[in-house]
This record gives sequence, C-alpha cells and structure tokens, in this order.
Amino acid sequence: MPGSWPQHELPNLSDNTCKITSPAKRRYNCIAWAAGSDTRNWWPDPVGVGFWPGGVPREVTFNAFLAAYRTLGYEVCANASLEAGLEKIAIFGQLDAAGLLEPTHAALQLESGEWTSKLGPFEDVRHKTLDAVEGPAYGTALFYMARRRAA
Amino acid sequence: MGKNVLTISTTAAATVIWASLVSAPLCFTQQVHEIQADSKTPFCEASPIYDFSTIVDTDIALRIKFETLREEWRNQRGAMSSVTAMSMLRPYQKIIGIGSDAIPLILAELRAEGDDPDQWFWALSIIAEANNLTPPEIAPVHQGDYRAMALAWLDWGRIQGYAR
Repeated sequence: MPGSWPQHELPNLSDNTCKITSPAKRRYNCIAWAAGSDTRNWWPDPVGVGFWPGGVPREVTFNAFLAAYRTLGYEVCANASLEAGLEKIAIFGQLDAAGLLEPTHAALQLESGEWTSKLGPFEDVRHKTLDAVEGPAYGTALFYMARRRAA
Repeated sequence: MGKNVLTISTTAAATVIWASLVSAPLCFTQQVHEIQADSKTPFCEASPIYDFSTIVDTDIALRIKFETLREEWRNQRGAMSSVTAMSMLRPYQKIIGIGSDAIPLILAELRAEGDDPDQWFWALSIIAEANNLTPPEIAPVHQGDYRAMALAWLDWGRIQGYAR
C-alpha cells in the first residue's frame, strides 16, 4: 500500500497507479483541493463546520456541488478527456444508505492529463486515471466540469 | 472495612497501571505496587490521596471511553470527505452523547492535535447548544479553516472554564 489510507476503501490505488504528493493532513478535503484550496475543508453541512460558497445551498446534493464549482468558473462538460486550455474536475458519487445519490469526492485534472485527489484526512495523490480512486470510498465519477485554464 | 478497602485496591489495580502508562507519574505506580505488596496495609491509611473510585469514574473511565470511541470513529471514517457523513457515524454520535463531560476531553484533543486539528467542531457545537451554551462566533472567513476554528473553540473553552 503506497499511503496511509485503508487499502480496501481505495483498492485501485497502488504504486503503479498513483504517486503521493503530500503528507496526510486533515486541514483540507478533496472538495477544497479540487477547488484550489489547501487550507480549508469545503462541505455544505448544516452545522456550519465546512466552508461553502455564499449563495449556494448548504445541502449534500449534486446540484449544490455543481453550483459551488460554478462560483469558480466551472461549467458542466461532457467527459473527462484532456482538452487543451481547459481545466477539468470530476465529481464522484454513490448511493447513500437511503438509496439517494450523493456527492462523495472531487478530483482535479492536471495539465498533463493526470488527476490529483485529496483522500479524506489522508494524503493527496496524483493518479493517471479517474478509476484509480473509484471504489467503496467514493463510488464513481458522475459529473465533469471545465473552465478555461489560467495562463 | 480493611478487607473491603483492599478489594477495591486490587480491582482497581489494572486501571491504575493503565493510567500510569498513559499519564500518571512513575512514582504513582510504584507506590500502588508497594501498597499491594503489603496486603496488611489498610489502603486509606496508606495514603488518603489514592481515591480510586474518583479516578476511575471521572477521569480514567471517561477518558478510556472517549479514546476508544475516537479510534472507532477514525477507523470507520476511513477516507471519507463528507463532514456530514463522518459526524453521523455511531462512535461520533456516542461522543456527542457523553454530553458536556466530553467537552474538556475534546478540547484537550484539539490542543494535542496542534497544527492539524480533527473535525471535532460538529460535536462541540451540538453539545454546546444542548447545554444552552453559546458556541464561539466563527467568522465566515474562517469557516472550514480547522486551525482557526480550533483556536476559537479553545478560547471559548477557557472562557467557559472547560479547558485546563
């Protein structure tokens, strides 16, 4: 196992599929990391623990997550393929205990076409494909968003 | 009377030894061993400061419970990123269920975690509200910033008399 995360939760991550790019930190989570922040946890919880962009509903729904990333200039796009000049994110989800589809994770595409993910309270990693972080922890990538990459 | 006291001393020994490993000074354990070695020594007469019932009930037992739940929570949380989901996990809810007695333990945990505090803020908020305590004001600029939030809660704890 390359990192400190529970391997059974992310069974596709291995030395061949990812590279650890930070120490384990609880200071930021994947939603923040994909939004470009490593100093905060982003989450629309009702208690107000996590940061959430102003004006966006504090609810754990894909609509709220898409709206949150829209505040950063992202718009929904068709797929995760690398496109010149575009910076993409992927939002993962899976069914919760009540059978509702809910967001679980976000990954950010690098200029190389690889992806970067923060793994809960553990390390962040660079991974070649999105399916490297698919599995019991985060489900699968369901939505893609893109914005023009800063020069 | 003396027999009863010695029984208490014997049953509490494992807990005291555990306590000595975790936090008590070495001499504390040594003195307990000396008391146990001399079974004729009435415990209360040997040293009135060793009130095991007090230590077990209020400090050690609660700390053991808290630390056990904390580890269970972290194990169950795994790689989860959802603040909501991790706060709904049973061990975390059990910590909330401890009530205001959990506040000093959580604040001590926050202090010990230093630069990288864990997500104790949901629990603190709910416990504070349930006990009619006003939680600290977290400025919007600090929302989600666990370091700033931990400092705010530690200040709050000092003002409320919870943080040692």
